[in-house]
Amino acid sequence: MITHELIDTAQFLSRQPDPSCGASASFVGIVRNEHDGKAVERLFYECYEPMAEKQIEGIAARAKTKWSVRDIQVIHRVGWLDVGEVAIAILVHSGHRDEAFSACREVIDEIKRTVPIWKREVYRDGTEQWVSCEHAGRHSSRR
Amino acid sequence: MTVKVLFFAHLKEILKRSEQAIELEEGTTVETASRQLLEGREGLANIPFAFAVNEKFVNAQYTLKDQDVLALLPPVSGG
Repeated sequence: MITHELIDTAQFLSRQPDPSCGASASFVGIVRNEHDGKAVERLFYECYEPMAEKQIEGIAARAKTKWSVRDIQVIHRVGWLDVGEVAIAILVHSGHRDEAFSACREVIDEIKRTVPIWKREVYRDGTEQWVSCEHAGRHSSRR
Repeated sequence: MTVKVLFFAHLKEILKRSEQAIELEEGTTVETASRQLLEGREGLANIPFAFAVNEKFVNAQYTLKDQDVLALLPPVSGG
């Protein structure tokens, strides 16, 4: 769920689906080297861990029921990350592709919208700032 | 009654602490407690906080109880 260690994407995605599954969809979020035109050096994710764990668990459970998928796995890294490193990985196994894609999309969107994690970006020009993307727990169209 | 309040991200930096225990009157809402804590603090007036009590989202009208853990959550940016 929440980890302070490097995410091994290959290992995470290698999880074997149930034989009834014909689809596996995944999303991998990576630290990008720019934000609003500024060159990003690295970033720090602060996390309210016990609540974040519960939120992610709830999001995955609701998506699993809503889209009738077999399994949803999520791992989100916190602490210091460098450009190019994996921040989050999501894996969905299901009978067919439509629900696998839908569930995967919904899980990442809900995590970005409601999970108590905050990103502080450090730029190559030496400045840094907290990045506010979403208002936790409320609807927002910003991504 | 005593409530523990948790601060995160820019709020933690501005207040220079990650948590604080506060004494409140019975029946105090999250909104009132939050206003008391942040009163007079520059740079906080326009932050649209969300609130959690005991690790669950609550609205501003939620009535706090003794030993509750209130978290003031700035806009999130995970994922």
